[in-house]
Parts: sequence; C-alpha cells; structure tokens
Amino acid sequence: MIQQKPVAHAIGGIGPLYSPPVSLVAFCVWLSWLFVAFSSGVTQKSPVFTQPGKDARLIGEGVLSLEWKFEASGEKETLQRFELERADNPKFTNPDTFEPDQETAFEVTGLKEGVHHFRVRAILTEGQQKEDQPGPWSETLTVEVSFAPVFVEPASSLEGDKEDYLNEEGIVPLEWSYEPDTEDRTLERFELERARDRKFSEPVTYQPGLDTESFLSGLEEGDHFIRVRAVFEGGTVTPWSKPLWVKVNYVAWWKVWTLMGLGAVVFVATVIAVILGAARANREVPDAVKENAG
Amino acid sequence: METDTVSVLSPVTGWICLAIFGTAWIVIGILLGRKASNLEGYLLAGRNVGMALGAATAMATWVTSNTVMLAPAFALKAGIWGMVAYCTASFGLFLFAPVTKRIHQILPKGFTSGDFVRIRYGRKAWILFLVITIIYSMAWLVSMGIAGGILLHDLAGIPYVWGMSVILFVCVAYTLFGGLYAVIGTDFVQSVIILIGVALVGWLVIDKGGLADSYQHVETHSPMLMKVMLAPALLSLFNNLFFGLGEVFHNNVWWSRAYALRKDVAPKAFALAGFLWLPIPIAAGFIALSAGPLGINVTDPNTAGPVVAGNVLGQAGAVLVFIVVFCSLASSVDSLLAATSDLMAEDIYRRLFNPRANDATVRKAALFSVLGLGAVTWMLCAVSTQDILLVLFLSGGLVASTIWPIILGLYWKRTSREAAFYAMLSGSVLGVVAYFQIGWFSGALVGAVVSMAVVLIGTKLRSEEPFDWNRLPSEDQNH
Repeated sequence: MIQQKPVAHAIGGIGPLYSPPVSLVAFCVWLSWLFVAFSSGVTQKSPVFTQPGKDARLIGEGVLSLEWKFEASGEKETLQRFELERADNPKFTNPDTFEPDQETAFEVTGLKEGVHHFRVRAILTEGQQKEDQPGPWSETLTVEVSFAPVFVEPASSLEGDKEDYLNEEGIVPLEWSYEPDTEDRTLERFELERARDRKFSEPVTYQPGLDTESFLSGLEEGDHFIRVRAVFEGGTVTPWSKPLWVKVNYVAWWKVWTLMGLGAVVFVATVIAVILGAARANREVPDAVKENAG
Repeated sequence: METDTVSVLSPVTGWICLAIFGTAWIVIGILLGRKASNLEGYLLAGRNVGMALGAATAMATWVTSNTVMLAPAFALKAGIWGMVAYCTASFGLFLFAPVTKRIHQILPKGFTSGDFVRIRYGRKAWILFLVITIIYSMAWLVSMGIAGGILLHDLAGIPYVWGMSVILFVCVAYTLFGGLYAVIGTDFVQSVIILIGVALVGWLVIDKGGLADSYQHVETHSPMLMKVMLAPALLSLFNNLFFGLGEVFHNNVWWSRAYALRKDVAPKAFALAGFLWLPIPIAAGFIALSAGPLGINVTDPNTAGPVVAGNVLGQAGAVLVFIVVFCSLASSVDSLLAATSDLMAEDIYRRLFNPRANDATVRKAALFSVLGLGAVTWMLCAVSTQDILLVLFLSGGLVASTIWPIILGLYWKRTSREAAFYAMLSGSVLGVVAYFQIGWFSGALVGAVVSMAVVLIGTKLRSEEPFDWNRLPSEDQNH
C-alpha cells in the first residue's frame, strides 16, 4: 500500500516526487502561491537612498539633503507620491512624516543633534484601481547629526576642487554661523585653526573667543586651510567645520617694482621741485611784495 | 546663535562722555566765535594765529578718525611697512611748510586754495579743481562721519546713527557759531588731549602686552607682517605718500590755515605739526598688533586700535580712548566743515553766482554752507556704511593729480595753464582707472605720476605768455 504524505509537507516542495498525483497538487498550489504573492505586492520594489551614503554623519546646521531612486515594477503601476519618515528610533515609533510629492529628493531642515533614522516608500496605483497602494519601505538610512560652525564669509564650498577665497594681500576676513541645539551645554569659545595642508598636520591656532568673526592677515603665499569648532564648558567640542580653502597670490613683483620705481622718481622730483622753488621764490614775486620787502 | 563683540564701555558712560565734551566744544566755540567780527575773522581767524595754536591745529586736523582707524588697519594688513606707509602722510605737512611761505608771499590776502588756482590757471582749471576738491572733501567728511558712528558703537554700544549724528551736530554747531576761531581753539585743546592720550595708551599697551610677546605672536600667526618683502605693503608706501601730499597741497583745510597763521610762523608750525603727528600712526599700529598676544580677537581691522586699547586698559582706560577718539573726530570734522564752507561761499557762491556780494552776504553764505554740508554729510553717512578705505582711497588719484600743478604754479611763471588743466584731468581719470584696474594701492601713485608727466611735457611743448605774478595779489583783492 502506498502511503500518502501530508499535503502540507508537500507544499514545502520537499515531498517525494515518486507520487505523481501528490506532486501535481503541490505544483498547482505552488503556482497559486506565486500568483497570490505577486498580486499582493510582496516583490514590489522599494526606493533606494542614494544621498547621503549609508550611516552618514552630517556636520553642519541640521539641514540634510536626501536623494533616492525608484523604479516602478510594472507598467501598469503609477507613482502617486513618496512618503518619507524620520524618527529618532529604528522602529519608527512616533515618526515625522514628510511628503515630497513625486520628487526623488527632499531637504529636511531643523534637525536636532543626535541620530536620525529615515525611510521612504512609494505610494502607487495600479491599472484602473483608484485606491493608493503603499509600496514597501526602503532600507532604513541612519544619519548622525553633529552641529558644527559653518563658514558663511567666505563660504566654504562642498566640492573642494577649487579654492573658496582668492586674495592678493594675504588677508582673510572670516565669519561663521553656529546654532547650538543642546541646552545642557554652555558655549565657552570658538577655536580656529589654519594649516598649509588639508590634513591640518601643523596647525596654527587662533582664539576668537565668543565672536563669530575674525580677521587673519600676513598669510604666506600659497594655499591655506581654515577650520573652526565650538568649545563648551567642561571641554567638550563640536566636530571641526568643513575646511575653508584660501589661496594667497601676492601681486606680481614686476608690478610692485614698476610702481615703486615710478613712485620713487616722482617723490624725489617733488622734493627737488619744492626745494628749488623755495630757493628761487624771492626772485619771482609780485611787485607789491618787492616794494614791501624793500 | 549670534555672538557679537561686546562693547568696552556701557552706553551710559559713552553718552555722558559725549555730553560733557560735546557741550564743552560748543561752549568754547561760542566764546571764541565772539572775536569773529568780520569775514576775515570768521573765515581765517583774523590771519593772526601764532605758533602754538598753529602747530596744534595742523596736527589735530591731521589726526583724523582715519588715523585712529586706518593706521591700525594698515599695521594689521601690511605689518611694519604698513605703519611706515601711514607715517609718510606727515611728508605732506613737511613739504607744505615751505609752501606756506610762498602762499603768504604771492597771495597775502587770499581766502581759499581756489583763489590761487582761479587766478593762476584760469576758469577751466579752477572749475575742475573745485570738482576735485569738493569730491575729496565730501569723501573725507563722510568717511569720518561713518568712522565716528562705527567707533562710538564699538567702544560704547551707542547706535551707529546716533553716534554719527551727535558728532556731526556738535561740530556743525560750534563751527557755525565760531568759524575758524572756534575750530582752531578747540583744535588746540583736542590736540593736547590726543597727544597725551595716545602716548599714555601706547605706553600702557606696551607695558601690558610686551614687545617680545607681540613679535612672537605675529611671527607665528601672521608671518608676512614682519617680512620686508611684502608686496602690497611696499606698494602702499608711495601711494599713501602721494595721497597725503595731494590732500595737503590742494585742500582748503591746509590753505586756510596757511592764510590764518602769521607769515613768520606758518612754515615752522607746519613742520612742527608733522613731527608731532609722525609717531601717532606707529603707536596706533602697534596697539593693533598687540591684539593677538593680549587674547583680543580682531573682527574688523578698521576698529582694531581703539577696541584693543579699550579692552586692555579697563574702564578708565576705555574712557580715555573714547575721549581721544572723539577729539580726533571733532578736530578733523570741524576743520573740513569750516574750510569747505569757505570754499563754497567764496569760490562757488561769490565767484560763480554773485560776484557783487559783500562780506556780510558771503559770511551768511558760509553759515548756510556749514549747515548744508552738515546735512548732506549726515544723509550720506546714514545711508552708507561701506568700507571706509573704498570711500577714501577712491579720491586718492584725484588729489594726487593736483600736487604738481600746485607746486609748479606757485614757483614757476612759465607753467602752462592748459598743461595744468590737462594734468589734473588726466591724473584724476587715470588714477581712478588704476584704482579699479590695478588695485587700491595704485590710485594716488598713478594720479601723481601722470599729472607730473603731463604738466612738465605740456609746459615744454606749449609756448604761453609767462604768468604775471602781480595778478595774484591784485585780482585777489578784488572782492
């Protein structure tokens, strides 16, 4: 007698294939499962964050630019909008919800210091359906936000492939902004560093106190990198700001010597003219003056 | 979070100082103004000013808010050469000293610098000269008003518009009542305060900061400031020198003093004023360079000197700095108001619009000119807080273009009228062009070079009738 295996076991696809009737049933069930699975959207694609990278660390003023990519899985699907969530916990309890419409980029502002979790999903409609069908959430993006001062004058660029400030006199007027978020720390001072390389291997430190402006002068010709951070009571510090790239190109020496040479000639000539003029002044005077002198 | 530089003094202390000294200047002005019974008395202090008052007024006038602000800024931007460059402005006083003798010789009854240019070079050159001098005088006045507002704000937290307005009001008031008598009288008191104050502040800062520490700090943080071969600093040397020469040689501030001082006194008084003025930019510059080792952050180089001194010396020292700053502002603003109003009354009103005006009418015109200048300056200061350097240095090419026409016109009768006109015109235009095309350090230098070349070559090429020196005193007396 042929013993039949429980169907349930066969559904798993590991049942003996020697029983044709049972295998046929299993195959049909499997096909049905596939159909149900596709129609319920389990394999629908989710958006993928492209900016910033995974486990990003944002140093700045609590402004985060997010970008993602998304491709609808079927031709009949129509993208209605995206839904973006932010939470301070990975389970997304009490999240903030943003609606970037159909854009694949969104700038989140007013972020506080700390760790933030983001996820995004597409809201679709399929075929003649009028009801929104939410797609699956993207993988969670975790961003740590640390506030640091930001140079506003001259402004440091994000690209870093070109100097931020070019100067002919070796001077740099600096201004930065800083918006501390935490209330349990007291700002003690700012600390400014200047170095000749991006790694700040031999930095010169400046102490601007609590001012958010400073003025550097007498810089040598060439590249300089400047960064600033806030120091709190107790010694805790913010991360360094994005470095500012300053290039000093002094006036060409041929120009200096030409102008100085001209200046020297005219100055000597002026002195001689006044001395000679004063010496001959008595020879060229109005008659009335001569008469008075006489 | 916006952090702001904390003022050295409280606004209340600042206002008390302003009230005390403002009232004092107005009272002195009214008392001295009683001596001005006629036009000569009002415009030229009776042409009888002696050595002490003469040297003091020349020195105090040359210690402007720009000295207090720009000399430290020069030191911070251009180091040792920057201080030397600023000191070259005293060459204007040194070289003008012998010129005052000549002015007395050929224009014993002159009133303004415009009188000389009009008679010597004719109407065309005179009008161009008036345009140059009015532009420069307004730029100087406005830059001082702006500087005053900024300094009073940084030192005592007094709002910019209020500080600037009070300074202008006080100066307009006592100049209006007392004319050049009031200006020279207050200048004397102000010069004594400035000299003692700067010497004291300089000594206290050196005592506190230390020369060695300052040198060490500058060497580490601003290494090029100690170098001899600092290109912009070298460039500023001759530019500043010609700017100073141009300012003194052409402007009625100095000509009116030359007329007001006694003939035998004027050269010595101007030379002495130059020597008294010479160390002031060095002291002011050194104060600014002490900022780093004393732990003071410089946010604006233009206000570094007074702010550093005020921070280092505590409340009493800060009051002293405040008073010195106020004196330096007032001593220059009053001189410019008086001299420019003379020019407007005498050259513009009488010579251009009302040749039959008598002395009483011209005096009235001078009064209205003081008021009008004060009002226009206030309006320009209220709407504009642009960089003081820009306002001032832009006029460098203009004033430097007058140096050679003035010198040659005073001493050489063959100097061509046409050449003088084109020298001033081309020097001014190319000076301004150079300012924008080459840099701020070239405006006055190019103006002087071009003007010299044009007036010398033009005189050589043109054969004009030699000037008759008798025309100067005779036409000058035809008021």
